[in-house]
Amino acid sequence: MILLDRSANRLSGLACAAFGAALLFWIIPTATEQVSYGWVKPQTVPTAMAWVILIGGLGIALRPEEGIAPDGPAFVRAALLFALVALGCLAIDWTGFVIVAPVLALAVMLWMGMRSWLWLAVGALGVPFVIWLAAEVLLGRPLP
Amino acid sequence: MVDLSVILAGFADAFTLTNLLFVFAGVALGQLVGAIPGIGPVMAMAIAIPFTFALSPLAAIAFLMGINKGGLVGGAVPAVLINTPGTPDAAATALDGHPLAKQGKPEKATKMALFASVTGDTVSDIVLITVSAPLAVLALRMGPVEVLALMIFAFTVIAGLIGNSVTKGVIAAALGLLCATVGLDPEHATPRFYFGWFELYDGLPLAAVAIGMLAFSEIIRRIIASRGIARPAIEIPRDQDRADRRVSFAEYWACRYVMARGAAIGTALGALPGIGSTAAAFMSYAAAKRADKDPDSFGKGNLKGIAAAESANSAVMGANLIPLLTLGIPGSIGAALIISALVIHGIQPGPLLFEQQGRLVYGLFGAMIMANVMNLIVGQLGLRLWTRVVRAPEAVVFSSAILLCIAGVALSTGGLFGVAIMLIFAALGYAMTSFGYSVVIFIIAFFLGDRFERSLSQALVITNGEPSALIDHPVAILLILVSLISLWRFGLSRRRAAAGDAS
Repeated sequence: MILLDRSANRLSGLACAAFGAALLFWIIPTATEQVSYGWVKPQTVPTAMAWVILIGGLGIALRPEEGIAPDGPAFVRAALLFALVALGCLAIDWTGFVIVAPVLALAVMLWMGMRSWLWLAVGALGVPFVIWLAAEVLLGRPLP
Repeated sequence: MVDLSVILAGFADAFTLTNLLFVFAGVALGQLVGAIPGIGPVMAMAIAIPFTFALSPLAAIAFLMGINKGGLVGGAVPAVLINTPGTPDAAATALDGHPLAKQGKPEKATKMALFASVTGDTVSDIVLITVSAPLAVLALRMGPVEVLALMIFAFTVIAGLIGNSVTKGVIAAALGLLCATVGLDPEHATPRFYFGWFELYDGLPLAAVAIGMLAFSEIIRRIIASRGIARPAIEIPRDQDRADRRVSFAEYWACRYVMARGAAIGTALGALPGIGSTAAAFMSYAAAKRADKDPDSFGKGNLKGIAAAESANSAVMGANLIPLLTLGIPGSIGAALIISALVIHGIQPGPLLFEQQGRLVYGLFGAMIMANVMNLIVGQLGLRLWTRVVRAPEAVVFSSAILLCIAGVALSTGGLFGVAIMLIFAALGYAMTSFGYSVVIFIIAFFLGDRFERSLSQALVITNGEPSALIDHPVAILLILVSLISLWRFGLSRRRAAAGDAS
C-alpha cells in the first residue's frame, strides 16, 4: 500500500505541528526549570525550536511542497525488525552480549532469507567472535 | 600564525609506523565498505568511532580519515562493475564507468577512477593545508555575535541545499537543536528533558545519536529493501588484454585538464557547508562534457567522464575540512563525524584549534597525505580483491553491522542505555528519511547545538539584548541578511522546481 504522496506529506506536517504544540504546552513546562534571570533561560532555545517545528509543520500540512510515497508494509516490517533488535538488547542486559549476539545475528540472517549453513556459521559465530576479540582482548573494554 | 616548528612536529607525529598502519587499515576498510552498496564510509566511520577510544587522538582521526578517503575510491567499484554506486558520490562515475566495463574493460575504468580520485583529493588537501591556517586567524577575530550569525548562515545554507524542501530542512535543524538542549543548560546549569534518567544530565550521547541516525536506520532500511532479493554478482573477465587492464600515462595525462577542473569544482563546493560531493561530481561531469571536442562520446565509456566525476567528488573531502577546522562548522556528514570523534577525544574544533592543538592539526594533515598515498597503493593492489570480498551475502554484512553498532555504542556509552538511545534515534532517522526530512541536517544541528546556545547567550550579553547594538557588528548583519536572502532564494527555486515537475 503506497500512501497518497500529498496526504503523507500533510500527515508528517501535522505530526510535526502536534509535536511542536506538545513541546510548548506540556513537555517544556514540565521538563525544564523556571529561572527568572539571564538572557537565555533554560526554556528559551527549546521554546524557539518548538515554535519553528509547530509553524513549519503547519506550513507543510497546509502547503506540501513535494511528493513523498512512504511504503506502509515496509514500515510494519521495519517496526518488527526494530522490535527484534530491542528484544535482543533486553536479552543482552539479562545474559550478556557473548551469548545473545550469535542468536541475534542468526535471527537477522534467517529473516533476510539466508539458508546457507556456511554463511550462517560465519555470521553467527565468526563475527561475534571477532567483535569479542577486538573489544575485550585487543581494546581491553568489557562488552555488556 | 602557526610556528614552522609546530608544523614540522605535527608532520613528524603523523609519519610514524603506527599511524601509517592505522591509515592503511582505515583506507583498506574504507575501500572495502565503499565497494559494498548500502554500507559506505559514513556508516563505517560512525560504527568505527567507538572502537577508536583506545587510540591516541591522532591515530584515531588518521584511521577515520583513511576510512573516509578509502570509501571515495571504493564507491566507484560497484558503480563501474554493476552500475550501482557504492556511495552516492559515485553515481556520476557510473555514467561512463559502467559502459566501459561492459566493453570488457572494467579494470581500466576502476583504475582511472582510482587515479582521478587520488589526484582530486591531493589537490584539495593542498588547498586545505595552505588556506586553513590563515582562515583560522581571520576567524579568531570574530566575536560571539559574528559566530552566532555565521551559524545561522550555515544552518540556512545547509537546510536550503540538502533535501527537497526548505521547510523540512528547517524543521530537521530545529529538531537537531532541540535534541542538543537535553542535559544541563549552558547558562544556568539546570537539567532539561532528562525525565528521571540521570544518564541524560550530560546530554544525549553523540555516538549513540550519530550511529542510530546514520548507520542503524540505514541498515534497517537496507534489510527491509533487500528482503528476498539476491545480490547481483560482480564479475571481472579473466581474459583481458594488458592494455585493457591498465591506464597508460598518456591516457592519464590526456585527462589532466578535466581532473584539474574537477578538483577545482570539488574544492570550491567542498569549502561551502552543505553542498555534497554528489553535486560536485555531476557538475564536473557536465562541465567536462560541455568542454570536450566530442561530447557525444560521454556516457559511452569515455575515460574523461570517469576522471571528471571522481576528481571532483574526492576533492570535496579535503575542502570539507576547511569550515570544520577554521570555524568548527562541519560542511558534510563525514566532517560532522570527524568533529564528533575530535570532541570524544577531548578536542574542540574551531579557530582556536590551530593555536591550542596546532601540532595535532598538522599531524592530521600529514595523515591525510599518507591516506592519499595509501589509497593509491591499496587501490592498485586491492581492487580485484574488493570485487571478490563484496560478494559476501547482504544477510551476513547487515547482521554483522547490527552487532557492531550495538557493541560500538555500548562500549562508547558504557552500557546498554546508550544502545536504547541509539534504537530510538534509529527509529526517528528511519521515519524522518521516509517522510523526506534530512537526517544530515539534523545531525549537523545536533553537533552545533551546544555551541549555538552558548554563542546566543554571549551575543545577548554583549549586545544587552538590543538589536540596534548590531550596528557595531557589520559582519554579523551581513551574514544575517545573506541568510534571509538565501532562505528566500532557496524557497523560490524549490517552488519553481516543484512547479516544473508538476507541469
